[in-house]
Amino acid sequence: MEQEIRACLDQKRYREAFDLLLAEYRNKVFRLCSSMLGDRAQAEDIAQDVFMRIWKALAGFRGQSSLSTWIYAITRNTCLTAIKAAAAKKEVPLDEAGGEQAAGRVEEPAISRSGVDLEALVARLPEKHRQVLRLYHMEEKSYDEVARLLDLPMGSVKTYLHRARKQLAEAVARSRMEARNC
Amino acid sequence: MACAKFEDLRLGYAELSDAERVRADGHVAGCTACKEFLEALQAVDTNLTAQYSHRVLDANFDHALRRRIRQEIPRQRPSLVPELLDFIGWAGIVALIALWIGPLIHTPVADATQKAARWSAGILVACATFVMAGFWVALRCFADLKH
Repeated sequence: MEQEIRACLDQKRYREAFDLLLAEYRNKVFRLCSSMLGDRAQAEDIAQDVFMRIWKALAGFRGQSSLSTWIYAITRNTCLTAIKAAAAKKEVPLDEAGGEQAAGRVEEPAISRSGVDLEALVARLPEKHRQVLRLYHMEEKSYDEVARLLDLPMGSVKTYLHRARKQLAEAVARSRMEARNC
Repeated sequence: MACAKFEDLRLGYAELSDAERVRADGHVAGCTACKEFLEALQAVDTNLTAQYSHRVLDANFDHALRRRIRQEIPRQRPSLVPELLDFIGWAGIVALIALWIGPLIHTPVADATQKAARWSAGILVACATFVMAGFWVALRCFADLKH
């Protein structure tokens, strides 16, 4: 597919190239946005921004990197801009907005009526752990795909995932134990 | 087996070999903490997979995106300059050929009727050249608009 898109770009058939690109990458971009932002509605909005940027920049794509690398880089940058904007609105320093400081451990499990609120626990994980964990489950548990989308080494992906799952499982086990003791 | 050393086996339980799994199961059977941890881990994985897998955009996304592109990026009219330059270039080539061939085919004319006929033919050829050049320019503009 990438070759077809590149052929269209070489022939300056940008509209056709964009149509192919949209069909190929729409869900990948959306899932990457979802993993970075968490919220589905916001991820949809940002995915739209990503494709607007791609449309504007398509004629300038020189093919120095692969098309997917270029698209995922635009996606990550657009998401980071959105995260920064949200953090600035809340007037919270960026480090804290990412959750890195607070999330050495998931201390207090969020309990909902039906049990542990897993999404709330995930939200308290460090930013990278959170992104890797979400994307791992969205991308059919492929380490390779997660590494490519987030532009991280495979070893880091495995480490972040290992830590995130450990923290979540410990929090859930702890909350179950507390529920039994009450 | 100590629980700390067992951690890797617990976390990678789904990817264990048969021998490792037997070892892990043997440990889990006698260790309440690891058993609870493993159950919690399986619950976490199941819930996360249910929550995040098959996450796709709905069909309206493409429609909304294309509408936004139309609104925010108005289609630009293609420039006529390249086509005009093409036309001038081709006209120059035709003129040069005409100048070169003209003297070769030039023969003295006997009367005014023959002279008028030759003029008419010349004007006809010039008009045909302009029509073809116009057609060429239109074709190039259409190609630009299409892409």
